[in-house]
Amino acid sequence: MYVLAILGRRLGQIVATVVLVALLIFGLMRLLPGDPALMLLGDRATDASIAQMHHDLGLDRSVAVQFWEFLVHTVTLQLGDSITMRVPVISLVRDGLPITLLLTGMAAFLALLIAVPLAFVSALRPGSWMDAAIRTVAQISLSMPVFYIGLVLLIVLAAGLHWFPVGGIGNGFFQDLYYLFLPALTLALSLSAVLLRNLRQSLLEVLNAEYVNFATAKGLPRRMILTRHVLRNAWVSTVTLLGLNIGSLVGGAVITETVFAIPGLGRLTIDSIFARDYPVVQGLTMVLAIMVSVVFLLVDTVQVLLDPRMSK
Amino acid sequence: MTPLLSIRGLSVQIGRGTPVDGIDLDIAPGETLGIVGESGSGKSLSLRAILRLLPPQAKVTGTAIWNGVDLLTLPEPDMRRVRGGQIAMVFQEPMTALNPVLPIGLQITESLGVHLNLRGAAAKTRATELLDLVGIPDASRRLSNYPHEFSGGMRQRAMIAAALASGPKLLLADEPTTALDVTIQDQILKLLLRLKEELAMSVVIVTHDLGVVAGTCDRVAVLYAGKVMETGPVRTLFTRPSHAYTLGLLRSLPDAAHARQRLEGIAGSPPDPGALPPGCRFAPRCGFALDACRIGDRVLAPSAPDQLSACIRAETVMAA
Repeated sequence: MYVLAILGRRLGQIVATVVLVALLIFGLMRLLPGDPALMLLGDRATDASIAQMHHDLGLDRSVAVQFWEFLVHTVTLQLGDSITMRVPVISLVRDGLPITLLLTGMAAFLALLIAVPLAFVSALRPGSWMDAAIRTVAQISLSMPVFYIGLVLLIVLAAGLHWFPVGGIGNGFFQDLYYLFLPALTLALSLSAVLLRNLRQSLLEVLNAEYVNFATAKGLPRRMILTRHVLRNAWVSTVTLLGLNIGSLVGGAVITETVFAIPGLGRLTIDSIFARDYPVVQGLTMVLAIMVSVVFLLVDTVQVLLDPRMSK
Repeated sequence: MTPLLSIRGLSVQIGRGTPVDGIDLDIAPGETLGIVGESGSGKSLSLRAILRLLPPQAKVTGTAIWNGVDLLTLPEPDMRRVRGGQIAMVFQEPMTALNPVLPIGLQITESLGVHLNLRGAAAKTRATELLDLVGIPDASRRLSNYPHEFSGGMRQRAMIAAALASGPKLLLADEPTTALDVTIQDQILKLLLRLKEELAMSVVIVTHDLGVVAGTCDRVAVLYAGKVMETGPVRTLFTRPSHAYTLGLLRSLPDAAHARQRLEGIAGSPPDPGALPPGCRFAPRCGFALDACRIGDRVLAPSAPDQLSACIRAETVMAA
C-alpha cells in the first residue's frame, strides 16, 4: 500500500514538472526575437496575410489563453508540424523514441553489467593491484569525453576490426541490438565508472557493517551473505545514482546518436536546433522532460522496494 | 569436568598493537561466564576472535578447542557449521546487527535453512515458535516486520531468536544490554538466563557492567589491557577480590545503600595497546604497586580456592 501512496505523490510531482517545463518552453518561444508569422511568410508578407497568419496561429489571443491551448495540445500530444520536414512532430517522436529508449536502456544495462562485478572485485580486496587497476581504468573512462570514446570505439572496433557496423540502425529488434551495441557501450563506459566508484564505496561500508558480522556469526555461506546482505544494502545508493544519471544519459545520447548516425531523438534534436525548427525542438523538449520524470518515478519506486525504511 | 570450550594463549594483533595478549579461559558446560573490563580491554575482540569474525588485518594466534578441534585453524566450511549451529553470538546494538532491509522472519529462517535444512512453511513455523520463545507477542504477524518497526527491546529479543535459531550449545553475548534502557536490560538478562536453562546452553557475557555480572554469572574473568587479571566464582571474587584492579573496579561502583558517598574510581586511563608499560599493565594506575610490579611478566596464580590472580600483591589486596 505504501508503494502506491508514494507513487501517487510522485505522480503529482510529475504533473507539476511537466506544466513547469511547458511554461518554460512557452516563455522561451515568446522571448525569441522576431515574429513567427513573418518568418513563415517570408518576403511575400502583406499586412493582411500577417494578420491572417496571426489569427491562424492564435497569436491574436491573450497570452493566458495561448498558454492554456499550448498545455492542452501538449497533453493531447498535438505537438504541431515540423517546419522543415512538413510532417507532424508526433510522428517524428514516434519514429525516434523507441530507438533512443533502446539506446539509453542498453547503456544503463551495460553500465550495470560492467560496474557491479568490478565493484565487487575492487571492494572485496581493497588496496590490491586489481583494485588499483580497476579504479585507474574507471578514472580514465570518466575523464574522457563521450564523443571521443565513441570515435575511438568506432575507429578500432568498427572501422578497424569490422566487428560492428560503423553506424545507422538495423532491421528489426535483434539487429537493432547489434547496431546499437557500440553506441550503448560508449554511453555506458563513463556511467559505469560513476556507478563503480559509488558501489565500491558503499560495498566497503556495508562489508564492515555489524549486520554482516551477525550474518557471518549465523553461519551463512559467503555467497548468501554477499548477495542477500551486502549487495541488497549497497544497491540502494547506486540505484539512486543511476536514476539521477539517466538525464545525462539522454544528453549523452544526443552526442552519441550524432557520432554513430542513429536516427533517434538525440540526433533529431541536434538537427532541428540547427534548422531552427521550433515546433520540433519544443515537442522534443517536452517528450524528454516527461521521459526523465518517468524514470525518476521508477527510481523512487525501486528505492522503496529495496529499502523499506524509505517509506517513512 | 572437561570444559566445553578451552581457550589458550589467545592473542589478537592489529598493526603494531596487541589488544588481546595471551588469554586463557575455560567455559564449562552449563555455566555462565562473565568477561568484564573497560572499553579497549580486549573483551569484545576476544569473543569475535573465537568465531573468526575479525577482519583479515587482525592476526589471531593461540588455540580455542571446541569438541576436540581448534576453532582458530578449522577449515572455513567446518567453521561455518560451528557458527550459529553450535556457537551463536548476539551483539550490542540490535539496530545495526539486524539487517535493516530484510524482514525479521527472513533473518531467522535463513539460519534454519542453512543449519537444520528447514525451509518454507516448516521454517516459518519454527521462526514463529522462536519469536514466541523470546517473548515477542503476536509472533506470526511480526515475521514480516522490518527491524525499524520494532522497539529497542523487541529488536534485541528478535536478534536473540535469530542467533539461537539453530540450537547452539554456547552463546556468546557481546554487551547484550548496553544499548538498552535499564528496565529492558533486566528483562533481556532474565530472558538469556531462562533460555540458557531451557536450551541447556553455556553463556559467555561480555560487559563493562559489574552489576550485570553479579546478577547473571557463575564465574567471572576480569580483563585489563588485553590480559586476564583475575578469574574466579562471582561470589568470592566480588566479596574478596585478589587483584588490585578488581578492587579498584568494585570501589568505583556507586552503591545504592550508601548514597552520596564519594566514589573512589581509578586514576588515569588504560594504556595504549601499542605502548604497554613493562611488568604489570595496571601498575601505573595502581595504589598498591611496588617496584617489583613494574618488571617481569605476570602469570595467573591461585589466590583462593577456584580463584586465580595475576597480582603479586594479592594477599595485601585481599586484606584491604
